[in-house]
Amino acid sequence: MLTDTDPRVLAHINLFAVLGALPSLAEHAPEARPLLAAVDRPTTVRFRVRGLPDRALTFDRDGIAEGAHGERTVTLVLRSPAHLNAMIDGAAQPVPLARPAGLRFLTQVFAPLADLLGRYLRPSEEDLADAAFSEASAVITLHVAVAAIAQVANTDRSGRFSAGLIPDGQIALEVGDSLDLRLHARDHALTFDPAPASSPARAALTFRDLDVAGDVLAGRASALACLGDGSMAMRGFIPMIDNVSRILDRVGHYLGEQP
Amino acid sequence: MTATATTPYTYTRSREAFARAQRVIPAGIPGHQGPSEGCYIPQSAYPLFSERAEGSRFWDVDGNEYLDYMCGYGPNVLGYGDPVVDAAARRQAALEDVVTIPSTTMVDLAELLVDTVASADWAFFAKNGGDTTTLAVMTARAATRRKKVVFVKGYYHGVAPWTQKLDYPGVLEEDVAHNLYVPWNDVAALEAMFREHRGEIAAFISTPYMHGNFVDNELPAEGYWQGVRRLCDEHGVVLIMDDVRAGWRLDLAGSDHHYGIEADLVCFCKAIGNGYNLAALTGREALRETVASLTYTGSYWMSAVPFAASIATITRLKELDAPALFRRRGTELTTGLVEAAAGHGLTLVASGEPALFYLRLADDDSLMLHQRWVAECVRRGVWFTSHHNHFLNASLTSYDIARTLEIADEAFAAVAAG
Repeated sequence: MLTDTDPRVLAHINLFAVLGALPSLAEHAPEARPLLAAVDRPTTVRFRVRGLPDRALTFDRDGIAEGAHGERTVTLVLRSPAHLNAMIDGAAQPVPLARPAGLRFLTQVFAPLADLLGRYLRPSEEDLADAAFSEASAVITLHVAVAAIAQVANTDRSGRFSAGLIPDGQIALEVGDSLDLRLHARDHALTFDPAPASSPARAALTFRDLDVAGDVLAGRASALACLGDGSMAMRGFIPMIDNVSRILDRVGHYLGEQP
Repeated sequence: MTATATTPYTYTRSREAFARAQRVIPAGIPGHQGPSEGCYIPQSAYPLFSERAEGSRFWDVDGNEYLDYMCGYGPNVLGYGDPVVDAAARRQAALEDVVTIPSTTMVDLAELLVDTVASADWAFFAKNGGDTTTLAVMTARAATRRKKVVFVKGYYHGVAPWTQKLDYPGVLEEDVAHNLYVPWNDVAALEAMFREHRGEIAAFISTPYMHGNFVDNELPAEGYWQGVRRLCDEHGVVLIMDDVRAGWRLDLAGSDHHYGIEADLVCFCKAIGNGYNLAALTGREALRETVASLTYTGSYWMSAVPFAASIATITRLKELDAPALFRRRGTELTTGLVEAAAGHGLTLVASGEPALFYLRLADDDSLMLHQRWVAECVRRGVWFTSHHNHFLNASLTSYDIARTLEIADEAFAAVAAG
């Protein structure tokens, strides 16, 4: 157990898992639709963070997708991983490279969507009382968590140690019969594949429902206790699940409440 | 037990007890005897609490009966409630157990161990296997004044922080900073490791063969242990044999003896007392004064009842020539299981020593098919596990094995039916 965290790993999580959840937000949060309706033409937001790979998301009226295929590009420049982390915390601003229409997109579409994402990832008690909100929040949080597992597995020292013990194959993180998110392990590197599963997993960790998933991912319930009472289940090549669980614990060091 | 087709068990009272447990015990049943680490897959196929045990069987709190091939994860070596061992324990209990100064029963047992275990010149007692592996590593470090310890990948030597890994909660990086890892059965890799860290390595610690979880167990290659012994001697490294799991089932003189060497330190627990709580580290003369110099003790480590039970256990194991019995019974059982699987078009692999056989259905690489088969066995009264090697005990009969094969066959049929 490492007792410290690495700002560069957190930046990977923020760039690829947290901001990577924007497509899921557009799909599952009804409040995203009116915001996206304000998009006048497909717009790519490119994140340029010194020391990290470039990242691009394209926004249009129908949703948000990976990649740079917009008719307009807005670039957000961040001078370091720490700068990105501060931006995600709301404590710093990126340097935007954009024309006036692009700047309007940032203030009228991107920033409200980012705020909305924060609300779904850190819901209030009042929000959680709304069943539909709670369900969407759990789905989006699960996407962030699974994507973050891949980032930590590939960039964090403890995560790499755990990933070093994972053989090749697909690991499913399932919620009941409705969700099946896949991590692909190959040569001890993990990739999150948000596409629908197309082949059997070699190991699977299943949450009974989104309530259980939300409680476990938020630290409100213990995974071990849930495995004991049957609200979570595992099957397949268990060392894959065991090591993914250790990486998930490490994700909590980055995204969870600090002790 | 009946000889007719079984009705799958239900576990109402187990579930009720587990609900109580979850309110007052973290995770309900923590550790390897609980549903998570115990790999109860699916959890609904398994009971959670036992009520009584006898011989090769236990009964859960719902009254379901099991032929038990885990033997309490090893301690049950003669049969649950063995009358000879229990009588010896009762006699000692009538005299004393935990007292301010120890009973000479401790000396009697130490003498028996020194006479029985080929490499032993002394014995030091504790309670759990992990007590002895920790003591062994402390001894090696004190003797060599070196820090590093070489492990075999896939190892298990207990749960003390030094035995865990960098990514385990509650374990500090510093706890495992001096751990080095080599593959099993690879003398060349060990030699390279010893050369790379010349003068830094205190100990090489290993089980007598690779009985790791979730993988086929591997016996030592011809000449492997002799090569390890030679390298340890050349580099001044203490050779620790962790015989906690295999001890008393392969060779009463120690598993190091079984594979043709003498270890410097041997760790025993599990079967040493047929369930009475005891562990022992034995060692060679050269390390006697070192281990004597260590600060290492515990409140119950000199309790006399387990010493008496252990003397009775080891004596009975000798009378039975238990290792030979286990080899015969294990071979009979695993051969029958492999044949039964083949009868349903399935490929069951049995690996490791017959006394501690490991099973795996090889028809898919995810173990899901294997987990289904094991669950079907458990629900019909044969306690196998899907992740761990098994254990035999001396009370197991040919009738028990025949009944096991019947149930296994039913379970194979259920799995083969999809």
